[in-house]
Parts: sequence; structure tokens; C-alpha cells
Amino acid sequence: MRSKRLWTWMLSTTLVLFILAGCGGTTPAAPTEAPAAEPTAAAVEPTAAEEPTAAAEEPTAATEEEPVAEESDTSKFLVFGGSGEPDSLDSMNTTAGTALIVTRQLEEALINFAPGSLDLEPGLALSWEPNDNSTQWTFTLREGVKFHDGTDFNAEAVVFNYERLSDPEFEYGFRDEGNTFPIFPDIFGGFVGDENTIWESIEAVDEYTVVFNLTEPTPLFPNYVAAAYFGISSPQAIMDNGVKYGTPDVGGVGTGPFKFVEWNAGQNVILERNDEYWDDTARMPGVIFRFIDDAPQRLAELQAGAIDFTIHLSPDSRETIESDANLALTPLEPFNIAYLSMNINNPPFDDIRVRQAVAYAIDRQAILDGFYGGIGVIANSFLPEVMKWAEPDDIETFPYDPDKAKELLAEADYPDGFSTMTLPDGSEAPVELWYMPVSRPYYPTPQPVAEAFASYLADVGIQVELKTEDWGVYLDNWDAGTKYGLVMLGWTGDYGDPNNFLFTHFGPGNVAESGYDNQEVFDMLIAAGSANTQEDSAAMFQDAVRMITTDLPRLPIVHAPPVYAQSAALEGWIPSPTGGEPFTTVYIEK
Amino acid sequence: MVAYLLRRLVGLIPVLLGISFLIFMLLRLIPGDPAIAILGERSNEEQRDAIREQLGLNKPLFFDLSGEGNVFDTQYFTFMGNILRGDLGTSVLRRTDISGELMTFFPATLELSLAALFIATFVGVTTGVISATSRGSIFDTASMGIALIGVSMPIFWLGLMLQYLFAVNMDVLPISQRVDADLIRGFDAITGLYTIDGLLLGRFDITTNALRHLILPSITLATVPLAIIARMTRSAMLEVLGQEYIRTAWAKGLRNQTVIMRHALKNALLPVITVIGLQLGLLLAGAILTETVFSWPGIGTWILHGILGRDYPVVQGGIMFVAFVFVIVNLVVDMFYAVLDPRIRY
Repeated sequence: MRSKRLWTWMLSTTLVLFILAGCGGTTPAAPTEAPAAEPTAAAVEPTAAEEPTAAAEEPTAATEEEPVAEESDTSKFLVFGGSGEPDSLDSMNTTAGTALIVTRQLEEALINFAPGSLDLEPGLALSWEPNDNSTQWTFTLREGVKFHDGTDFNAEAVVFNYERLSDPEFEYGFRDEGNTFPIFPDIFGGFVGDENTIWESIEAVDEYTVVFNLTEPTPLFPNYVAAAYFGISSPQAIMDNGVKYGTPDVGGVGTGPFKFVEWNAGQNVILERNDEYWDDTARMPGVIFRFIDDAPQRLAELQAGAIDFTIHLSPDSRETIESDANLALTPLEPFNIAYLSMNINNPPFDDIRVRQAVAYAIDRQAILDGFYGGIGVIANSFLPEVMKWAEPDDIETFPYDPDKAKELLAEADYPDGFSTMTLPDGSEAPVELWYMPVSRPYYPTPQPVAEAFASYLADVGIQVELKTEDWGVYLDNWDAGTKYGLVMLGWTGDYGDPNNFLFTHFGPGNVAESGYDNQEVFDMLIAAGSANTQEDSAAMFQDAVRMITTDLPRLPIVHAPPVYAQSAALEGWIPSPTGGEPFTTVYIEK
Repeated sequence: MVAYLLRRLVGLIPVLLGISFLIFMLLRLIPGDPAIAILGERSNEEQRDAIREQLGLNKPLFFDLSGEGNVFDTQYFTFMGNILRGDLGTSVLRRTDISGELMTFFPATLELSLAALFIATFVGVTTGVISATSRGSIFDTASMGIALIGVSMPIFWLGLMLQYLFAVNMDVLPISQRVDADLIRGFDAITGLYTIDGLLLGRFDITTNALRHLILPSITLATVPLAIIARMTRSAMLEVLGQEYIRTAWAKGLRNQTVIMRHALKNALLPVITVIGLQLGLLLAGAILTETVFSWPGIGTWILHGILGRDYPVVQGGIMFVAFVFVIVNLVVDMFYAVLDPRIRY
């Protein structure tokens, strides 16, 4: 009563807030409208006006050649909800998935993957031919392609890029200032001058022909070259910008369907359509890559319409997405492996029967149903479905069979199971089961899965203690082989070579936590990787997989696709299993 | 006054030195290898050694006692030396200049903090005054109860609820970020405060858009200081209202509003202003939860990502900067107090 003016003051404050809140949400004049409201609100009018033609709009795939303005909402940029900030937009100088999804739009590799698969398609290279034993590969390049800065794409540019990548002495590598090119030694065994490298040289034969020389037969070489890591950048841009190339100040300059506009640290990378693209140009005028670390946050942003498509959601968000008419799940092939490792150096896990008992004790189908929403497949080996050609048909599958597990334990002299293990120093310790402190597509919910493992193991008498630690330390100890007992981890592939899964885990130098050090397997994997033909290669891979399954140092659990989702109005998105696809065909329905 | 100011400024030196030492130590006590954080899980030992060398992480922490090199050629003294030269270094992850990054992240936090402080002050003081003048009424009890809830409410929970309600369910406000990304494409910020830049450059669409983006996060961030300010105002008002000069004012037959606004509030506000000033420091340094929930590209999320990515220069530079701003804001508040209250003389 006494303070009427104060009341008015407060009320007016509230009112101002509400006016601001309402502003733009309803007024059509406001150009600032949240993208949330746009697709639905804007869609109503044009369709109502053009009702008779609505049916004609259906066969979108066939009418791709037509001016895009007729079907897609070309007024706005696509907004992609990425799972974090890139570390660099120089594709050769990063291994981060958050970076490669962006660089794939800017810098193209010589060979493309067919949409949604690992089949190779001509890209910047029109064709590629090996010599008799696959030690020399000749690539014929596409003519008339230009980099975003207007310079020519040609053999010289390709040689420049690969020499920069492979040769530590190359003038424009800027390694002393921080460039590391981390993927090259992983794939080719080392840089120029390293003892184990299979890389010899690259030469330009003429303006549009390059020859790669390798020291070993490498039948899968085109599969390596197609990986997103090998995007070709403009040599001019690299020479001009030095170590700043790929950073927020410069971005990336390639031949891709989109051009770099800006990178706002902590917020987004903005790209716009490359209208001079050599293939069909992108359907939308640009893409904004948002950095949203948190999966629930990405889902909320998708629900709110702030982003159009996103990746790596948690499996339990499938229900939310399916029940929302404005959203849709995006199907994709699994290209990963979740596994449970057993350190074969510490008893009782040194006994193969104990390891087999662990395999029979765990109901992997139930794990798949319970923690992955049933989407994915049980893993019989490390190789995902798309690489089944390298997996033997008669592989041992270890179906859920607790009785068999108990039998095996009894045979191994543990009729009542066990609860301790022997460490390298001879001391006894409780059996540990390590689960990751972070979520990955292969183990989206590591802790509950670990609890399920523990309960299955307890059913056959194996008592474990659940443990975890900081992710960095977890990986350090994993690498150092100082994790004992059972350890959970996984892997997502990046190119179409079975060795990307097998050599990475069973090759020399990758003994790590399992202690599995089998020279025969090493030899078979190396031989398979350098066989002269893919048939020979398949036979050798199958032998290696058979031997690994017999020894069972790591139990494959599942291949589970990550959960991708999109706005229902979004069309034309076909995610690549390797996680880097061009957004050329993606558009938003008007 | 000048002597006092100088004394205070000299006093800042040991404070900032202590902070630099603490940040430096704490950062290195966090488990996890920066080389792995930078190169990724798939790097090998050789690559990691190379990056350690490039970043100077292979140098001793404080003193090089090996007798081979300069005793002070160490991580800490290199860091301090650079800071004194005004060089905050380069982000390990992005290789961008940290001072430059500060200039984009700090305005975001400043804009959010000022908006939150505006709401907190406006609503807090109003509530406090009404509560005090209608002491014991339903409004008083209710608002003080709500204030208590406000102080104790988890900020991220409130933020998520507001997002869910206003952005996901009702779809009337943007869910996150400072402004729609395609709106400011190629936009050259002047102050970095989008609401103001929009006005300066005649881009009213940007100002409106930025204001709409500000609503939810600033309300979220305002809850705690709002509650504190409301309670502070209430008790200060109650104290002043019991003073004899207020009784005199009423006895003179002045209108209620004149007594409350001009005679009581003016005096009661003195301690409140100190609190408000301190809150600004706290908001600037502590907006991290709100920033995270709303993907607000401010200094809090910037430092958080620095910590997660073991980007030592970003974390060190960022925290030093925040600490510096914090002590300066406090100093300014103290000085301001002397201006407002003629009785205070330093």
C-alpha cells in the first residue's frame, strides 16, 4: 500500500522482460527469430499456396539437377551440432573427429568414399593403378579444379601436400613450430628417414599424374589415401600462412564444396558454399558447425530447433527422438568395436580356459539390448560388418552359456571361481574391472555396462572390483601395460583397412594392457596388409583373426553405431561410417 | 586518498604473485598428460616428446639445478617473465594469441555479468525495500523465503529448467549462445558487447537478438546475487528506518515515498553498493556454470576447455586475468565507497 510506486517499478521490470521474451517469437518482421521457429512456421505458408504441386515435390533425389531454390529453404545456413571444438582445420595435422568433419567440407582427399559406405569413388583423382606388386601407385588427377584461393589443383599441389606430410625436412612443414602430422606414422609406419616406414616418395609425372612409391606391397593404399586425414590444401595458403594455416586466424583452404568464412573460438566455425565447386554444388548456402561438448545439451538444442543435425547422442535419447514428430534418427553402419581386455600376464587370466569362461559368462545380447537400445551387433571379432570379408566364416562365437563357463573354470582348477589375481611382483590382489570415465560411442555408458559385466561374472564365481580413474591417466596406464585384470576400451575406425582394427590392437607396439605379444599374428597381419591382391589379403586376415580368437586376449563385445539425429525437415544426410562426409547433399525442406 | 590507492596497488603485487604460483602448481598437479590431451589418444611416445619440447614442458618447474643451463630457465619463470611483458602466450590447442582470445571471451562474460547484475540489483533492491517497509507481511515472508531458495538453488539445474521450459517446450526464447551465428557473420565487433555494438552500428536486429539470448542466462546467473542483495537491502533498510531522522521526516509530514526513497534508501544503499560491487567481481569470475549450460562463449567456458584440454597457457593466462579483474573491481568498489560516503576518508 505504502509503496505503490515500487510495485509499479517491479511490475514494469517484469513486463520489459516479457516483452523481450515475446519479441521476435511472434512478430514476422523480426529478422532475429530463433531458428527454432523457422522451419515449422515458415513452412506453412508456401505449401498452402502451392498445394497442387505438393505431390510433385516428392521425388527429390531425381530432381537434383534443378535449381535448388524450389525445394529447399536456401535462406539459412545449416547448423550442425558438433561434439566439440576442432583443434585444427588442417586435415593432415589433426586426428580429432571434431576437426575432420569440418575439414572434409574444405579439403578433399584424392579419393572419395561412396555415400554411407567404404567403397571408393573417384574424387580429385579420376583413377588409380598399382604396378604388379602394389609398391607403386599411379594416380590420374581431375583437370580444371581450383582451390578456394583461386590457385590450380594439379600434380605439383599433390606432391607439395604429401611431401609436407611425409618428410620432416620439407621446407613448409613448420615442424619446429608445432606441426606434428600425427596420423602419417600411424598409417605408413614412420616419416621419411624412419626405419619402419613403408613410404618412399611421391613424384609428379606430368601436370595431372602423380606416382606414389612405397617400399612394401600395399594393396589397400587407395583406402588410406581416401581417409579424411589426407585432404589436399592449397600450397599457396600453406606457404603464405606458415604454422598459422589451419588455425582460427586462417582456417583451411582446399577444393571442397564449402569455403572457410570464420572460426569463432569457443562457439562455431562458419563455412559458405563454394560456387565454383567441380562437382554438384552444395544445396545450402553455408554450414555453421557449433561446438557442443555435452550430449544432453546437443539433444536439447536439437529439440529447440537451434541445430539441424547432430552426432553422438546417448542411446537412451533414441526414445525421446522417436516420440518427437519434429525429429528423426539418422541410420548409419557401426564402424567400431567395444572390447573387454584381459591381461594375459597375470594369473588366473594367463589360462586360456579362464578367458574363455569370461567370454561364455557374459550375455552380450542382453548388454546390447540393455545399454545400446538393441541397435548394433554382437562382435565376434574386432572387425565391424563392413569388413566381414576379412573375418573367417567359422569363427568361434562364445554364446552366453554360464554352465559352460563354470565347467571351464573347474577345468582350470577354479571350481568355485576366484576373486584375486596375481600381479607381476607375485603379490595377490582383488580382481579389478576397469571402466572408462568417459562416454564413447562404443561404450556410451561404461559404468552400468561394467556393473552388468561384474554381475555376469559373479554368477559364475568370478568376483571383481570395479575401478576407474581420470581418462588421461587411464590411457597412460593402458599404454604402459600397468592395468591388470579386466579393462574396458574400444576403437572407432578411420579408414577401410582391416588392419585399422587388427594391427592397431594386435600388432607389435600395440601390446599395451593385454600383454598379448604374438609374433605369428604380427607376421600374418603384416603379410595380409602387403599381399598382392585383396583375395590373398582376405585369407591371411582370416587366419590372423582365427588365431586371435583362439588366444582371446581381448573379448570383443559389440559393434554399436553411435546415435545420430536430425530435424525431420532435414534431408540428404548420409553419414559416413568413418565420421567425415561432405554436406553437399544436405538440405532443409521448405 | 592517492597514498591509499598507491598502497593498495602495491599490496596487489604479493596477491597476484601468490595467485600465479597457485595456478601454476595446481595445474601441474592435475593428473593427465598435456601431450596426450593435445595429440590425442593415438599418438606415440616420440610425438609426445616432440610436443613437450615445443611447449617447454620438458623444462624443470621452478629452478634448473642441474647446473647445465640457466637456473631460471624453467617453466614458472618463463611464464612469469612473459606475463610481466604483457605476453599471455599462445593457446596450445588453437595456436591463437591468448590476449586476442581474451578480447573475444571477456566481453561475453562482461555482458552476461552486467545483465545479471542489473536484474539482481533492480529486483533485489526493490524486493528488499518492499520487504523492509512491509516487515512481517506476506510479501516479506514470501520474498525472503524465495531469496533463501535463490541462494541455495543449484544454478545449472535452474538453467536447464529455464531452457527446457522457455526454449524447448514453449519455444519463445533461444536455448543458448550469445546471438544467432548467421546474424553476426562477418560482423566486426567494436566493444564485443553485442547489445551495444548493434546500437553503435545501427544493427538493431543484432541488439534485439542479443537481448533475447541474454534473458535466460542472465536470470539464471542473477539468482544468487539477487537473493543476497535483497536480504542485504532489507536489513540495511530496517536499520535505517529505525533511525531518528526518519522519524523526524515522517513527523514533518513528508509523503511515504519521499521518506523511503530519498531519506531511508539513500543511506541504506551504502552497504548494499559494496555488496553489489563485490558481486560483480564474483559474477565475472564465477559465471562458469551458467556459461556451460547456455553454451555462452565466455571466459568461464574458455578456461574450462583449457583445463580439459590441458591448455596450460589458456588456463594460466585466463585465471591470472580474472584474478586481476577481481582485485581491481574490489579496489574500485572501495574507492567508490569513499566517494559515496563523505564520512569515509582513507
